[in-house]
Amino acid sequence: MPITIDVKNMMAKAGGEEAIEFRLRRFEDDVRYLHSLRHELLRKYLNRWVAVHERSLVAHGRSSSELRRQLSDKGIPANEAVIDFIASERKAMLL
Amino acid sequence: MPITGFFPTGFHPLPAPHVQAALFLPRLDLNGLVSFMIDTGADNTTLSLIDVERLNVNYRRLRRSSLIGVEGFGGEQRCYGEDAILILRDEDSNTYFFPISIHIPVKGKRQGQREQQRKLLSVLGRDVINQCNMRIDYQQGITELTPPEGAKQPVATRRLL
Repeated sequence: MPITIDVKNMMAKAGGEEAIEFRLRRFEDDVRYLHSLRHELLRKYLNRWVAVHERSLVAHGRSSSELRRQLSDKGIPANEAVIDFIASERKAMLL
Repeated sequence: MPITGFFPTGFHPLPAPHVQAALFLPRLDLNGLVSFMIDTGADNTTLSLIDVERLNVNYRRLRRSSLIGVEGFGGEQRCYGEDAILILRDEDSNTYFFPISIHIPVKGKRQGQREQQRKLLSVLGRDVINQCNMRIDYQQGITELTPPEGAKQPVATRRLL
């Protein structure tokens, strides 16, 4: 049987509009923070996956699965962390 | 007020505009935050494999009937289509809802392929962009999306379960 879910209910389940906004703003801030760390990350974590949460570098690993395991161990929700691969060379993209 | 994004200048010599959004996948009961590259060349908003994994999407729950081929310069890639609500917020704390069918790439068979897929970006496609007035100016550092007023209203998802 088809069901519909009201978006407001869905948002309430995720903590409500204010909580979502707070998390979204924090996430935006974390994305900017990750990019501000460029030089340090290229020096220390080349060819590794890194994760930033609440303006802190919280995990790094050789593989994304290792990184997600570390996040899980620290109780950091992966769906709210900023994850990126620190490549020695950025390839040109055509998406 | 427009939704503001930015050009991440950290790693790429030719930065692309990005915007951050909350994403809900109602049928799968999942949500998360995603950074999207704004891509006027993409028909549909598409998740990179790393974001699919961050959101903890279980591939077994995706519908085989939703599989479609997506063509690009890199060849054809198959993606699942999944009902989603993309949520953007402007500086005045207005919430905008975009009900879309988000594309989720089929995982590569080999580990090397999957690692490559993880390094791609999630992209915000024209299914969302074309609903907005967009202003992109790299020289001025401006990335702004102005959604229609109608996107402010909560909407019922179209098809679930």
